[in-house]
Amino acid sequence: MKIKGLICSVLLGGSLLATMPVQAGSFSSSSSATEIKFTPEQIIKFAKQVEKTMAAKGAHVAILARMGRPAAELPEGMHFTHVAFAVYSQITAADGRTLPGYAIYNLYQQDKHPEVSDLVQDFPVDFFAGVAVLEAGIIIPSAKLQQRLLDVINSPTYAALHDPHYSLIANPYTLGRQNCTEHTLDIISAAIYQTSDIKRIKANEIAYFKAQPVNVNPFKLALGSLFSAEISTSDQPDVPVTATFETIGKFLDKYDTGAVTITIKPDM
Amino acid sequence: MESKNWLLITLLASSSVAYATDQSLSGQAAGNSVQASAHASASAGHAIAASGQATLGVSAIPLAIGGIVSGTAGAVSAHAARGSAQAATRPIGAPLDISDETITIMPPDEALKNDKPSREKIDKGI
Repeated sequence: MKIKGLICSVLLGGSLLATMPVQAGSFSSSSSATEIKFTPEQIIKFAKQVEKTMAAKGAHVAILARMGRPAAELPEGMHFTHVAFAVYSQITAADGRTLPGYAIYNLYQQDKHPEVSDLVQDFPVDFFAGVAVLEAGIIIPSAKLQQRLLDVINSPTYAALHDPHYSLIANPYTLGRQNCTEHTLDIISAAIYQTSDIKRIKANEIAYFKAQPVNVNPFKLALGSLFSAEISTSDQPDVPVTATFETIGKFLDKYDTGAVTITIKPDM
Repeated sequence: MESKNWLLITLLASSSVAYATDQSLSGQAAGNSVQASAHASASAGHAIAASGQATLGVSAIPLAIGGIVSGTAGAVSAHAARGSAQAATRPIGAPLDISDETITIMPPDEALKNDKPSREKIDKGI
């Protein structure tokens, strides 16, 4: 067991993860954050800045991304490490008051079982709590798509499209493994086509969505999948591909007229 | 079995020596990424909650758009669905009100103080 752990450390630390996207939940998307990089005040201020930006643009539903690792550690074509839906909500506080704000709808890996994911709701300050860089990506879909996304998020389809079998590099064109970006994409497709039929959703994603190739040495990838439960190639028939915030942004920019993508950095 | 493992170690060590030299620090961090950063995230979240600058949120109901009630709620309770209908808000694109308060999920030590289950309130169950 110790030897296996050592192999994982050498393999994942020294070669594979250093060149792979980390799209998991709060834990793995902040692997360099064995220390807290920002003060609570900095995180609170930035999270509120993000919220107010979305609210000023009248976004009821947005796709929100964070940087769990510095960009320099991510492969080409990847900048953000975790993606979720931000939904304008009426939030009830512990003291009973109701407050307007955004709730975040995430797919997170389980702490003790990183190959398994849960759907978890939190809030902007929680979303950004462990980031490596204070930078947010936001996609605001068109009004029509926002309405349809809200319908899906508020329906049983949202959970029905969740596959808890997690892979860091899940292939968005296939079934069997899923990460946060694939679930996000599936929800978007469900909203666009107003369907919960996963076969129809995948057929349309194959036809219209362009995934990001995962540029990792096949040998290292094979060993990674052998020794790390959260990395699987079982759903990758050919060259590994995965969905990213960037590819989802390009997809909506092309097919959802009126969609806007913005990046937010801290106000100076 | 043991010799097989040592063979793998040798193989990996030789193939990743270049990474090991210039990324030993990140390697160490990444090797412990899941566990370590889980703690980091929890710590960060707890630090925010403990800072006294955040309000604990126990539930969130999507606000309906422009008076249009969203689709049938899934695991969201009937109460939540009614809340959504009652809380209809402005059309998409019109600026929305945002509380100046920072809202956070309930930290474990706070949740443990509650007698009633609270997970269903904060986890996405729909």
